[in-house]
Amino acid sequence: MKFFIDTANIEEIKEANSLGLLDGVTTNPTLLAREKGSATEIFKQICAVVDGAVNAEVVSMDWQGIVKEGRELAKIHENIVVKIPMTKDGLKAVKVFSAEGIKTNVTLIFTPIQALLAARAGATYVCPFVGRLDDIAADGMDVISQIKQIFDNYMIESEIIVASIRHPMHVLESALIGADIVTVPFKVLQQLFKHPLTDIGIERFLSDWEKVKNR
Amino acid sequence: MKFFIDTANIEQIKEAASIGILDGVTTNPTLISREKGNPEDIFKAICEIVDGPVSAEAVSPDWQGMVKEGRHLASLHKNIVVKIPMTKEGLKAVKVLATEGIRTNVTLVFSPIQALLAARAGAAFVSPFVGRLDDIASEGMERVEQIMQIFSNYALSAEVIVASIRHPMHVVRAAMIGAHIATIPFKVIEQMMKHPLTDNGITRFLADWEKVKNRS
Repeated sequence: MKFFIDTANIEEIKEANSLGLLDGVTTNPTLLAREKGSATEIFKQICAVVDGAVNAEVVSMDWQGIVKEGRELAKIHENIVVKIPMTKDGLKAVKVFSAEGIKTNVTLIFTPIQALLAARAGATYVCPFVGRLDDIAADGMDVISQIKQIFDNYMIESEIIVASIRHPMHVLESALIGADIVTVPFKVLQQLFKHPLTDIGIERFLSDWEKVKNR
Repeated sequence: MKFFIDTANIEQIKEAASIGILDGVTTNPTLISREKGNPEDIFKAICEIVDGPVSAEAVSPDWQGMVKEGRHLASLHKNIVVKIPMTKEGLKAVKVLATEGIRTNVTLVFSPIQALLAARAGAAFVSPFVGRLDDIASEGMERVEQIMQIFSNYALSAEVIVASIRHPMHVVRAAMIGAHIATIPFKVIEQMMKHPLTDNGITRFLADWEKVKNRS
């Protein structure tokens, strides 16, 4: 399973990289708004750190506008993946990009059928949002299982990025299902390492080590 | 399934080797503190007996310290595997040591996600602790099952060492799941060989043998 980080913060991206767990980055307009500098500058900075996909989102709503924006974004760096919302116009744009060899990530996916349509349009990645489904009392991870099964049924090459991850259980279930990628907020990335018994175990070993270290 | 012994006691290690089931040894600071002598001498003595991985634990809290310690431990003998605790600093050290070709065993793993992170960082071995999870009414072997499924989903090459084994049933379940390695305390190795019906059978055969052995 590949780990992407869901942030536009360069310090968080660098820290994830030092852990050897940075296979890519996903951003969105909300995440960009939290950082300083123009969007283009931020994307360039991120691409300099990450040796993998860097998602930059379009904000046009009509397919012609999306195509124009996407071509500009793709020019910034070879690692840029154009993130496109799951709409009819979005998929028209995906089809055009696919023919031009520009990588796309279809985002705001909430049903397995949306994922199938995005894959058929030629998306490199599809981004189902699990946390926002949990928020409305629908099982987000269930949708991931179904997408995985449908993609396996038809040997679809699009990779599944599990997004809107809120806690480590989402990551565990993704790994058990065999999803290609999880995109994890920095806070959850930190939580993944922790277990109270690990902390207790280290304390116990260190106190025993005190007895032998000066032999 | 490979059998490691979880001890730093030379006599126990020799005994396990003589049974032919000694594929490696795991130690930790607590086990070392129970033996005489300085840790390096103990590691060297163990490596003389065992033709397999011998885990020696780093005790520095920061990744720079662990890397330094790990390089030194690895220089003691080619069989040494550097045991690193499952922390963020630990995984930074694993990443560095992996690029230098030094094998690591990430220990104190209690969740499948910790195991996945360790494998991704480049650990040669990951050590989930089953007994200590059972201690808090959490099913330790279920974690091992999940780890094996995740490692097979993504064809990860890190080997799973089932650790903190308390009784033979842990070993049976580890074998049923297909875990690569069980690291077993000496007491449990002895228990594993026993079955009352084996003892009964031997007693009966010997008694019958008494009846025939002096026939001409």
